[in-house]
Amino acid sequence: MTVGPRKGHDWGMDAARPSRLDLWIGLSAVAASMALMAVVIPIWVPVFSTPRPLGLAPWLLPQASAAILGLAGAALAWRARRGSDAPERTVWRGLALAVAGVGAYVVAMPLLGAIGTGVVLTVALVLARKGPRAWPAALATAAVAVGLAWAMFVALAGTPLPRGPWEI
Amino acid sequence: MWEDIAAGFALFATWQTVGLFGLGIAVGIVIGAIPGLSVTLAVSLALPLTFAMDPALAIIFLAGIYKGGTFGGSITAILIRTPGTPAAACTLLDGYPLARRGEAAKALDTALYSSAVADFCSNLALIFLAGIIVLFARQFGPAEYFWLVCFALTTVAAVSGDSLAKGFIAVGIGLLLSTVGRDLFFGSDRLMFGQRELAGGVALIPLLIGLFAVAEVISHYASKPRPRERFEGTGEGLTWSEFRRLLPTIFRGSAIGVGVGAIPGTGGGIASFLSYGEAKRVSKSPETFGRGNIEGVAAAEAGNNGVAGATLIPLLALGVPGDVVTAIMLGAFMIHDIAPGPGLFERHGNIVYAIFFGLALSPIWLLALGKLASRGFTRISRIDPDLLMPAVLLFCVLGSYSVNNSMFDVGLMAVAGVAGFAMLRLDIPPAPLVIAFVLGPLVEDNFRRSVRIGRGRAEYFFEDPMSWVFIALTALSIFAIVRQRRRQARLLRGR
Repeated sequence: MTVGPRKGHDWGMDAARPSRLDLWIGLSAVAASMALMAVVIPIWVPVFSTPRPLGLAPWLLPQASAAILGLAGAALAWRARRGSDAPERTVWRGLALAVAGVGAYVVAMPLLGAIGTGVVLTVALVLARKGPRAWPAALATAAVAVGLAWAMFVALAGTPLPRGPWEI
Repeated sequence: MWEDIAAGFALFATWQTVGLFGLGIAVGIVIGAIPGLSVTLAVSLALPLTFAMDPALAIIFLAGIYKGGTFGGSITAILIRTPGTPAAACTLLDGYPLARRGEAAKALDTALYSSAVADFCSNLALIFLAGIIVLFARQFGPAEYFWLVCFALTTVAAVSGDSLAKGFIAVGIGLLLSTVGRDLFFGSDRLMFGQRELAGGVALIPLLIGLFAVAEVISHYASKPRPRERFEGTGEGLTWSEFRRLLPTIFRGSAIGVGVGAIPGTGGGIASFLSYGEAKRVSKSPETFGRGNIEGVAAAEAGNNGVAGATLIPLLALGVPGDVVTAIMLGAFMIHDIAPGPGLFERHGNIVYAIFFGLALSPIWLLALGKLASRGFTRISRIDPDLLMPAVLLFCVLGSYSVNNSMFDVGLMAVAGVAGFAMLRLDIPPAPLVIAFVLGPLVEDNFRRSVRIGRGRAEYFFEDPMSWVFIALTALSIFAIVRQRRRQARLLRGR
């Protein structure tokens, strides 16, 4: 009798076919787990020594979580070692546009204020997607979105949003 | 108890509460009916708005969005073959062929009535079962709670997505994120990497908005546009005799939904497919399923709406969220410094009963709003997402900022958004991450209390029979899920 997985046996862990990408996800999870374990061990404990009993130690849950991550990653990598290539699904230009939009909010909001940044970026995102002829739709979208946001966050919830150089 | 009921009724019976609940359901239906926007996104974005609300009002509002969104997801599934929510994917199987045959009105009516009946059953189950479970839960010590949370984490890792390993990767990341910040027991800084803003831990709302809303926005821009399906004519609605014939299917689906929803870590998607499968199994004409059988629509909708109320049972009675939306509701409780669980019924009984009164109204609101406007919502589903997504992004940014009036939280949201998008593309489910994140402190707290009470003896964790029940349930659920996955994998290989 053979003990252990047969060739190509999946241990029943996945319903979907594994891909080559899963191998890299699994290996990355293992690497992240090892790096985190190294970071977590020297967590400074402001008591005289390691706490007793051991279960109270502040590094126990981070260690256990990193171990779960590593073990699951290893299992995934093992399962996907003979996987096929995953189909390409990402439109990279669109991805770059969206990430740039999100990043621009983080950078521009303290400088231009929430309302100013909202108008500029809403118009920019609509134009980038629909073309320069869509400026009436872009302006209308920005007006509605910023108006609604102002009503909900400023008028109703009283949130002091960053006001920018124009104090709006 | 009667005092709590009276106080709960007083809390609920104001025009603001009733109106806000209706508004929540309407918002949920609208968001659910827009392809690309999910209920989770709507509830995440609404969470910052509940800061200023009374806790009962906040939960009722979020529950309204949840229930409205669960039904709203079926509208686009039926009309344009695009499920507005993952739970509505099953409704599409028979709903869309009905719409293609010119019977969209019948399919929409079936979805609406099945949703309302299942919602009613689910709320009844919540009201009666939550109290009974609380009586049991009062006997739980920290060791039993520790095992209960382990059971919830295992289930959510196993049932979310297609891969058990990826589910556990998400749980590992969620638990790690929950440990970031200052450990209040020893005062040690954990995984803060020198960022003082992380001393209080990773903020829940920016994390949720990033993972569920910003990730959807990025995913929209990074995907090829899909051609929209068009439908012709709506036809006649559902007749009374047809509805009566559907009642056994609806009640069966509701019961399945309640059973699935009451288990921590599961969700509407599983319930709708189980209910659909059962309806097909007992049907005299199973070959018509998938070709436009209204029984299929009724079963799927009853299954996923049966979950909506029942999933609040583990949240309110045990403090353990049943799915992502209830994990967000747990966040709403935490914002107001209220811990769900047995203590909620003792210390804030009025809030519990106010929530019950609110939920009891939900089928009526659902029927009224759904019937009044289900034709109008077809127009909503045609809104151009290229105009919608920049507005959603603006709300994400302001919602994250409003938590602590901090740009650090906006940065956190941006990082979580990019990570959420990567998880979407790598098929790593975000639900286990969020549930592990909110349950992490509960795991650690109960583990430490058990260690202290048991004076470091490992046997303390296994002394109570209830601990063994949860350990057995955990093992059983893993066994059942692995078995089911093997069957699915075999089917895939056979194709």
